[in-house]
Amino acid sequence: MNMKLSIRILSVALASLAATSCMNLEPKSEMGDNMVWNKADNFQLFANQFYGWSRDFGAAVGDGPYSDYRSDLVATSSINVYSQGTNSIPASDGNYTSLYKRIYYTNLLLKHAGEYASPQDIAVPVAEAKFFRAYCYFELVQLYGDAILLTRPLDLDSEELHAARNPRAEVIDQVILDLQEAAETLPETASEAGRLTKYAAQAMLSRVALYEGTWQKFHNGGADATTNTDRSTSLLTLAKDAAAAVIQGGKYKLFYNNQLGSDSYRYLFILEDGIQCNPANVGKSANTEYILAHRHRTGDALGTNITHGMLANVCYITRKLANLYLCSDGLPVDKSPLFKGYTGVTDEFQNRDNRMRNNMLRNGDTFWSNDGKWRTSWTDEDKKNSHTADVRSNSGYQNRKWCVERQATDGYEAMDFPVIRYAEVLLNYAEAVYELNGSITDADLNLSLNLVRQRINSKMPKLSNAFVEANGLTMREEIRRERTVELVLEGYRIDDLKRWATAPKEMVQDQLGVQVRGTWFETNWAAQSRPLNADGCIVLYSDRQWDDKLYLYPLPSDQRQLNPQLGQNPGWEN
Amino acid sequence: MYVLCSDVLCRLCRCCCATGRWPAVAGGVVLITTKKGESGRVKVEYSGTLTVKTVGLMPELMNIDQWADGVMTALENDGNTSNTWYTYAQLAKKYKGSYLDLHKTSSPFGSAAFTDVHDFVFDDSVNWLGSLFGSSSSTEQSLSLSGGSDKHSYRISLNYLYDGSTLQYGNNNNQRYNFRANNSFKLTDDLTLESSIAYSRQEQVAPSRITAVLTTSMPMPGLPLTTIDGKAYAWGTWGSPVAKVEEGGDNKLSVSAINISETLKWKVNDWLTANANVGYNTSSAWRDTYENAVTFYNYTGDTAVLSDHPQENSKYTETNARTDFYSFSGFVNGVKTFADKHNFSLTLGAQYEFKEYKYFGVMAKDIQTGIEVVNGAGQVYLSGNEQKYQNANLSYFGRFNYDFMGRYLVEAQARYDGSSKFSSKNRWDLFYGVSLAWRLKQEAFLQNADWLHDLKLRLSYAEMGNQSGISNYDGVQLYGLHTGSGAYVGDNKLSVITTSGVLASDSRSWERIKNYNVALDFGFLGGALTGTVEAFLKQNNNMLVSITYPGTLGDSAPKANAGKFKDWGFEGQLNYRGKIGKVDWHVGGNLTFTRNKLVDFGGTTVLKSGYASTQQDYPLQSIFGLRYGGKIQNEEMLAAYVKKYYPNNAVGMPNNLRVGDNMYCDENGDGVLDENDYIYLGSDSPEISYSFNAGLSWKGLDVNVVFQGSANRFIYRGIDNWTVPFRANYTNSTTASLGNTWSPENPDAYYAPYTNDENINKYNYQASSLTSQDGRYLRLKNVTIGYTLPDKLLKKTGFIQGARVYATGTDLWETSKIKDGWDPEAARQVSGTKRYPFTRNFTFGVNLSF
Repeated sequence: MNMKLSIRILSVALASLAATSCMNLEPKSEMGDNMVWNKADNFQLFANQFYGWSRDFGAAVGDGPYSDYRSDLVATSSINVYSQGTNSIPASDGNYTSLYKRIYYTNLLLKHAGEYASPQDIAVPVAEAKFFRAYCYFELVQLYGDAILLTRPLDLDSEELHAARNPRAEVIDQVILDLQEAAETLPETASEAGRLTKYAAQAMLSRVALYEGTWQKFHNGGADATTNTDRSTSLLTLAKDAAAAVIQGGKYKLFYNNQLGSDSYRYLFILEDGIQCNPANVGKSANTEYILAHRHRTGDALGTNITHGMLANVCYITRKLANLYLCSDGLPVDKSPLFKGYTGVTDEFQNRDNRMRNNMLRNGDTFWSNDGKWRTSWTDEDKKNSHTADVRSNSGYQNRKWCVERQATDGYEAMDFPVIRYAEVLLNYAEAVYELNGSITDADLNLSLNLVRQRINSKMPKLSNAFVEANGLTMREEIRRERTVELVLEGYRIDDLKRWATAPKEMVQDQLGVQVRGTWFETNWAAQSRPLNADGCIVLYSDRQWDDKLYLYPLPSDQRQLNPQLGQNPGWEN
Repeated sequence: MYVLCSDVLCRLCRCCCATGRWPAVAGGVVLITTKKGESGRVKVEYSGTLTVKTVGLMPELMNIDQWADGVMTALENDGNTSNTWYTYAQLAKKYKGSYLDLHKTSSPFGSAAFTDVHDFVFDDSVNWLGSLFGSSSSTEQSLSLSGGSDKHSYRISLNYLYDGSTLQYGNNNNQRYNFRANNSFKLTDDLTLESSIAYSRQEQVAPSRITAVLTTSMPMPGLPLTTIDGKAYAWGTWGSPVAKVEEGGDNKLSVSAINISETLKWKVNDWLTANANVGYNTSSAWRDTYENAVTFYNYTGDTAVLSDHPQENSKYTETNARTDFYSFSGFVNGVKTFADKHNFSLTLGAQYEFKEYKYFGVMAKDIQTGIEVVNGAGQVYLSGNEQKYQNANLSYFGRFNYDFMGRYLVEAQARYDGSSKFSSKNRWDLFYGVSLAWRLKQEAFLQNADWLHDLKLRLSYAEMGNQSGISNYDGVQLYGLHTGSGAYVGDNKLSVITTSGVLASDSRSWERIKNYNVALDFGFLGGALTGTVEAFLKQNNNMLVSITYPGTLGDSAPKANAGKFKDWGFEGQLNYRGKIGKVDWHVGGNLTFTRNKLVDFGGTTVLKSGYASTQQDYPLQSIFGLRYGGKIQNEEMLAAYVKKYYPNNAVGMPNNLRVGDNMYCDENGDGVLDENDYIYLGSDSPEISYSFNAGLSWKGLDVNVVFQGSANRFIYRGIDNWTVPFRANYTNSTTASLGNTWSPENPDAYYAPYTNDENINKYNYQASSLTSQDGRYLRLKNVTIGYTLPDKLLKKTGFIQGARVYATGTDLWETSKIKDGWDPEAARQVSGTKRYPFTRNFTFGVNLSF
C-alpha cells in the first residue's frame, strides 16, 4: 500500500471516530422534564406520591412531635426529654428538611400546572397538591411558628434561600386559601378508597382554623381568656363553618356496630380487611367514620410494631388520664356519687365512661394479643387460650387501644391510621362554637359533641347547659375533656395543650401511676419499688419543667448556619 | 474484570501478589500488559496454593457474670432497679450454666414480664463472636500453556479459585473460574494481530440473612446457639442468628464476563507505525436470594415458638445486572532519529469508549424451598431499582517525545476529552502535560564517578480530567416512574412519578486535576544501594463537590465545580542489595507522607460532630468534635458545670448529668457549648504510610519479610452497641470497659459509669478528643519462605523444568494504639459486611514448569 492511500484510510478512520452524535445520549430509565409535564396522567402520577406523607402509626404510637408520649398523659420506660421539658437545640432536624422537600414537590406540580394547556384535565392533582402543601405548612407552623413561605419552587440562586421567616399569620392564611381552593375542586366521594375528598379538605380546614384561632385567643388573652381578638374571631368562624359543611354533607357517621355494642369504639381502631378482626366480622367497609386514612394492606410490613408496642405495660397510662374519664352519670370522679374509689384493684373502673374500659385493661380482664395468645374462633371458646391482665407493672394502668386480637407477625397489622376522622370534626365544631360565642346551645351540642359522648355510652346524660349549671361544671372544661378522652393516643394532646396555653400548668405536674398506699396494691404488689408521692401514688416522672420557649421547637443549628436570616424561636437564643 | 497475577507482566506484580491489592492510583492510570507466548517449544506452567485463614483481632465479649454485673450496675446508676432486667441479671448469675424450662417450672417473673418466652437459658460456654467466626481455607490453581512459532505465538491459561469464609455457619464461599487465550499472529511482515480473549465466571454464595450475624448488637450471654437437639432456637421474638444463616436461605451471585481485545499493528514504513484496537467487555451478574420461612423452637426442642419469616413473608428475589463496555482506539506513531543523537517520536490518536448498564429485579412472596427459579404463591413485586444508563467518552490525544542521546528527555502530551455526562456546551476540555528528565549520571562531570551508579532527575506537570461521581445526564431535570411503590390507595399501591432527588445541573464540567511532580532517582555502590525521593502536589481547582443548601431548596443541589482541593506530600524509597558469600540479601523501605486540604468548599459549611466528608480548610474525611475536659469528679464540680453550660447548649447535654460523666471545653470562651466549640480531631486517612522489607536468598532458598504501617490517622467509631457499654439491657458489650470505668478510685478512666439513658450516652460518646482514637499501627504484612528445586535434581525427572515451593504468612502480627479490640484497619462503622474479622493467612504453594 502506498503512503497516500494509507494516510487517507487513517484519516477516515479518525474522522469517523469524531462522529460526535455518539456523545449525545438520552436517559434510558428516567424521563426528562419535557416528557413528564405534557400529559395529564403524569400530573396524577406525580401527585400520587403525596399520599405517602399523611401521618401514620409511627407518629402516634412511637415518639414524634405529635406523639402523646410528649404530652402529660402517657409515658414509657425511658424519659422523654420533650415531655420533661429538657430537649435541646438539635444539630439537624429531619422534620424541617422533609417538610420543605415535600412543599417543593407540591410547588413543582403547581408551577407546571400553571403552564399546562388544559387545566380542567388536571384539576384533581392540582387540588391534591394544594391540600398537601397546606398540610405540610400547617405542620411547619405547629412545630416552628414562623416559617419561610414559598409558593413556587426555588432555584440554586433564589433570594428566598436566604430570607427571613414569614410570620405565622401569613403562612396560615396561605394554608386556609389552599384548603378552600382544594375543597372546591375535590370530589364529594373519593374516586378510589384513600383519595382526598371535598370533606377531607373541609375537615382539615376546621382543624387548622380551630388550632390557630384558639392559639391567637389564648396566647393573647391568657389561658382563661373569654374574649376574642379580631383574628381569632374570623378563624373560629371559619372553623365552625368548615366543620358544619362536613356535618351537613351527611356522608360520615360515627362507627357503631350492634353486635360489638359498647366495644365498638375499641374495634373501630383495629378494623382490618381479609381476616376476622372482631366478633362481628366486619371489615373496613363498615368504617363510616374515617374521612382520610393512611391505609394499610394485609401482608405489607407497617414498619412499626403496633400491638407489641402498645399493649399492656409497655405504654404507661398515667393516673391523670385514668381520672379524666367521666363516671357513667356524666360527672367527673371528684363529683360523682357513683365513683367507687381506688381501694380495690378494679373499683375505680366501675360505673365509668365505657371508653375507659375500651382503652385500658382492668386487672383480671381476659385479653388477647397478636402473638402468644390470639383469638381463633371469636366465640367464648377463645377464653380457654387467653391472657389474664395483671396490672402490677410500671404505672399500674395498662393500655389496650390499637391492639389487635388476631395472630399477626409484629409490624404486619393491617388497620388504617385515621388522619382525619368524623369524631374530631364534631368536636372541632363544638369547640369552635363555644370559643367563638362564649357559650354553646344544646342544639349545637346535640348535633356534635353528644354524638361522640354517647357513641358507646347511650345511658350517659347528654352534655347540656343545664347539666353543667346543675353540677358546678364548666362547659369549656367538659368540651376539652370530651376531646381529650376521645382522641387519646392519636396525636392531638400536646398540640391541644399548646394552643390552649394550658401547657405551663399541665405539663409540670408529676406523672403518676396508681395509688398504692391504702389500696389493694399495697398488699399485693411487693415488687413495686418506684417512689410514692404524698398521696401514696407511684411517681413515674417528676421534676418536669416548662418554659414558654417550649411552645415551639428550636430551629436546628445546620439550617441556621446555612441561612443566618432564619433566626431562632424566642427563648432558644443563646 | 479480573486480571490474574500470574498473567500480568509488570513491575507492580510483586506487591499485588503479596498484599492481594493493587496499589492505589487515584486520578491516574495503570497499564496492564498480559503475558504473551514466545516462539519455541510448548511451555506448561502450573501453580497451586492452599491457604488457611484464621481469625485475627476481634474484641472479647463479656461472660454471664461480667454482663449481669454490668446490667445491674447500669440500672442501679439509673435508679431503675425495679426494671425487670435487674431481676433477670440476678437470675442469670444464679442459674449460670444451666437453664429453666418454663413448661416444667413457673416463671420467676409471673405474668409481669417475659410472658412470651418458654425458657431461660444461661449457657456460659457460648461466645457470640468466637463461636460464629473461625478458621477456613481457600485454594487457587492455575495452569498455562504457551508456545508458538515465527508466525504465531500463544498463551492459554486456566485458573480456578475457591475462597472459603470464616463464618462457621451457613453456606458462604466464593468460586471463580478463568480462561484466557492470548494469541499473536504475524499476518504479514508488516502486520501483526494480537488477540486476547478471556472469560471468567464467578459463583458466590452467602446466607441471605447474613446481616443477622453482622449487626452492631450482640446477643446477651447465655443465649444458646441452637436448641438442645440442634434446631433453630428462639427466645421470645429473638431468633438465633445461627438458625437465620443456616436455614434462612442463600444469596447466590453468578457473574459471567467476557473480555475481548483485538489489536492490529501495522508497520507502515521504517519510521511510521499504526495501531488500531477494538475492545469489548460484557459482564452479566445474576443474583438469586431466597429468604426461607424458618420455624424456631424452645430450648428443649419440643414446641415451635416463632416463625421468622412466616411462610407468607418468605421471599425470592432475582436480580440481573448487565454491563457492556466497548472501546475503539487508534493511533499513529512516528519515530525518527537524527545524527544518532536526537531522537524524536510523535503519537497522534483517538479513543472512544461506551458503557451501558442495565438492571432489573423481581421478587415474589410465599415461596417453596428447593426451587431455584422465581416462584411464589403470594404477591409479586418489581425491585423498584430498575435502571438503565449509558455514558460515553471520546478523546483525541497526542504525545511528543524528544531525547538527546538518552540524557535529556522531554515529553509533552495533550488530550482533548469529551464526556457524554455533561451538557453539550460543557462537554469538551483540553488537558496537557509536560515532563522532563535528566540523566545526570551521563553528564561528563559525573560519568566517571564510580561512587555514583545512577542519578536521574525527573520533573513533570500533567493535567487530568475527572468526571466521576456525577450522574449520567446533565442539563435536564430527571424523573423516575416507580410502579406500585406508593401509598396503598384503591386496590393497590400507587405508582408514582418522583424527581430523581437532585436538581438538574446546567453548568458543570470536567474537573482539572493538576499534578506537579519532582523526583530524583539515585544509585550508589555500583547499584547496590538505589532509591528515589519524590515530592508531589495535586491541585484540583474546580472539584465536583456536593454543596448543602438551606432545606427550603427542596431537592438536593447537584454536585458543582465549586471546590478547590489540594493534596501534597513526599515519598522516599531506599533499597540495598548485598552479597555475603553465597547469600544474596536485600533490605528496603519506603515512606510516604501526604496531606490534603479542601481549600474552598464552594458553599456554606455546616459544622457537625463526627465525620465530615468535606469541610472547608480541612482534609477530606475529617473528624470534628469537642475537646474533652476530664470527668466530673464530685457533686460540686457537677453542679458548677451544669449551671454554667447546660442552658441553651447544643451539644446534647442532658439535664440529668451525673458524677463520672464527661466535661467538655468551651473552646471559644463564649460561655455556651455549641458547634462553635468543635475542634479538628484528625482524619482516618493516614498521613504517613510506610513499609520496609528484607530478604535473602541462598542456593535455592529465599526468604522475604514485609512490614507495613500507618501513622497520623484517627478513628471515631460512632455511637453503637460496640462503643457504648450497656446501651441496651438486652445486648452484650465488649470487655473493653471492665476496669476502665470511672469511679473515685479510677478518676481518669475512659468509660463513664454505665447507664441505659440514651441521652447521657449520646453526650458521653459523641466525637471528642477522647473518643477519637489514635489509629497508628505497624503490621507484619508478609513472610515468605520459598525453595527453588535445583536443576540437577529436576533433570533427573526429565520433564519438570522448574519447581518452586513456598510458604507465606500474611497479617501475622500487628501492634497498634487502638483500644477497642478491633483490627486497626477495620472500618470506622463496624457493622454489616465490614464486620468480618480480619484474618491471618497461611499459604502453601507450588510453582511448576514443564
